[in-house]
Amino acid sequence: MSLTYLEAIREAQARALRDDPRVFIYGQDVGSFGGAFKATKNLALEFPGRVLDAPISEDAMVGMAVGAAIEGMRPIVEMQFADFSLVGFNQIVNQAGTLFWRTNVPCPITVRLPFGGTAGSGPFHSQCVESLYAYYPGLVVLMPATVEDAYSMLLEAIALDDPVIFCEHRFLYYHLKADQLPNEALPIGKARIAREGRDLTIVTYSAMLHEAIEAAKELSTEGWEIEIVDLRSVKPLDTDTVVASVARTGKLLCVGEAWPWGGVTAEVISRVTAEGFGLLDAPPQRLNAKDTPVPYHPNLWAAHRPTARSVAAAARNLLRQ
Amino acid sequence: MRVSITMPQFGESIAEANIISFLVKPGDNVSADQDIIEVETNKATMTVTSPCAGKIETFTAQLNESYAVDAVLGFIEATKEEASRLGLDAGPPPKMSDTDRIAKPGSNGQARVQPTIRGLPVPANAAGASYLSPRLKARMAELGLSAADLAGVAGSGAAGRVTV
Repeated sequence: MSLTYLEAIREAQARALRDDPRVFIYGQDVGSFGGAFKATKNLALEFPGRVLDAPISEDAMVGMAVGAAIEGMRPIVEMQFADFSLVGFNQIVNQAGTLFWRTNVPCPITVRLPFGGTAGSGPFHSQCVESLYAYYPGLVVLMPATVEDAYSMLLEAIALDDPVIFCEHRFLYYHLKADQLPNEALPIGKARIAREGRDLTIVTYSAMLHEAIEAAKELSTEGWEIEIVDLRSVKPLDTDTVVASVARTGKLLCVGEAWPWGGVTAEVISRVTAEGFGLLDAPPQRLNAKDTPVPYHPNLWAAHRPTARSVAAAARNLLRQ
Repeated sequence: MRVSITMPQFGESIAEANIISFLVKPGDNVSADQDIIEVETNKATMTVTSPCAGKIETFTAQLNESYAVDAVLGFIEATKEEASRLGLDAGPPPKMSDTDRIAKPGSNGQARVQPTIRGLPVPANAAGASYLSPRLKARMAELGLSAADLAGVAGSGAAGRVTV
């Protein structure tokens, strides 16, 4: 049996619907159409009345989900693209994120955001919004990079009493495959050492993990052993695992597909510098997308985001210092 | 003692309110914080409450007229003790004139903050063979070494710096 990242997300939702009568799915065209990317394919047939089509208003979708959560349900909201979640941003950060802290009533909603670039998707269907949501207190922000994590982290997100922003990378939907679904997983909030090494630490997450692994393979032929930390969850952020890795290697490169101003990669460097200054043998570096809207043209898009090639080049510069 | 009834500040964005009805009439005895005038703002209908206990002397405000925040709407006759207990016996605070509130620019009309264009000196040993990274300094401190102990070591790092 072979299973894609997208199928793992569908399977996780099917299992959550099966196991917990409080779970339901709400989103535009998630019902008989099966979702913009088919992440809810056939679920409306299998679970009648629990996979509901929403009006074209992300604002209303999240507001309804917060209300349902207050009444004891565990809604999964599907956004068609992460970019569109900004229309519901107010409901997510001001209502869902603050609810428990204002009222002592938990807000167990899961907002699924298909995000990130693929060739030809352009400025409105490619954005990485994790840093925006991670900024706000009260939200958990997850970035699964593997088929196994997509499955186990989505199940854990639905079971969690906090509102969760679940960022699914669209580039991984069809490309990434696994032989079977996992029976066990690391808990949310723990990073994973995706590759062991002694010369340099690359901290990354989501689709950039795979670019970093390609870069590490290339650098190993040049005699460098790169350690790769897959953050899995950017909020909470597993600073301990990152600092421990930098203690082994002395050099840090953070790679993210998001824009360079602030954000997750800056936060990682800030924490390592503050908590592990004496571990650093060279100034920590980061590699992000270019600070422009995401371009349509495939060649421009490839130049805009970090790739295995640019990750390897940035790592070489750091290794030579 | 005569205490004035003024239009309260109902919200940050509200500058005035319209009088809809009077809930008491001159000569009535009222208690502190009792609703006495109903007003309507752009956002909602609210009430003006009595600043203290006493007898309504007169309403100077007219029905269906709008009054700005802090405008006097009428007067209450209160005992001296009641007024002083609530700190209402002093006159209104002196009003600042507009020219007091608006900051004046510098006397010559220039911005008060001048940009700094001078560069700072670069400290020595920030690069090259003599650069000691934070990691190396931490390791040297552990081993009880000083910079002089590294003098004869040819490093393998950039420009021959010692790395660890």
